Amino acid sequence: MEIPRLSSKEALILRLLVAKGEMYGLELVNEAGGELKRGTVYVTLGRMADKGYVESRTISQDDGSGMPKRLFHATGYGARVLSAWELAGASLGWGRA
Amino acid sequence: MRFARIRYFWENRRPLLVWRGLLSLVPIYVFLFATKWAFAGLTYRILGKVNQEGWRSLMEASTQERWILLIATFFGFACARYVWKFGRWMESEQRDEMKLILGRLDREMFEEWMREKTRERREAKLIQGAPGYRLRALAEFFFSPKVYQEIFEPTLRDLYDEYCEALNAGRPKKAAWVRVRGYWSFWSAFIAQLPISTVKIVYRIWKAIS
Repeated sequence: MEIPRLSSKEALILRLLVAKGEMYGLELVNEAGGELKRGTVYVTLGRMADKGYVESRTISQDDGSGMPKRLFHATGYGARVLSAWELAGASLGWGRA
Repeated sequence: MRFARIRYFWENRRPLLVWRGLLSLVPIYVFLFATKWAFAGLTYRILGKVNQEGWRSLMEASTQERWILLIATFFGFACARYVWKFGRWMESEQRDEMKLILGRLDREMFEEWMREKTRERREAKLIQGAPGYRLRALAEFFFSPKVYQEIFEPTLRDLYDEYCEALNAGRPKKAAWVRVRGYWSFWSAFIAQLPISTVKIVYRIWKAIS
């Protein structure tokens, strides 16, 4: 069985999503205080969705843009991976993973 | 007729001496490179494989030369386009025919044309689509629908939201900055995602073949 891995950015995103619930990319960037970049936040989220850590849903808005808003939330699996990762980090003395 | 228009404009020294100078760069660099390549080719012919390394180094332009050539070409095309459009405008509106006959170029005419052009551009900006609408098509073309919907659509959506927010707040400069930042984000995502998508496609093809 493959052990799930988390990069520092993925851990940060999961932490924010677990703490604050559903968020979209720009909110995550603003909340991260410079640790996440606008250009790569959705790439990271896409990778996390492939791993099953996060899920997303779209909200259609009739504002003429033709682009729905995408909200992300942590899955149960993602939350468990984060807590296991933080536990492992604390036991091994990594600080905050 | 077209050449006559350009020639008319060309022969009047005001006010585009700078453009003319920039345009002159293009043939200079074309000549420079043509000579260089011809010389390199000749060297290769005469000396054969003995001087292959020298031939290669001659064929390769230095970074500085490449930049100068690129900039000169860009300005050259931009200037030629303006000269062309100005000629067409003068003919279509039949402005100051006497001045045309006398072969004089009035500065006021040129300034009026520039004002008209600026106004047209400003109006064109007002009726164009959401910022990044061309980039949407580009991302849709290069990536799978899933990647487009999960990565590029939200990136452009954020740009759109911020842009509209800045405009609603009456801050056009901030809106312009948001646009630049949004485009930067888009291209960062594009560059970050391209290798991932390429590997996935290659893997899928390999799997289908084997």
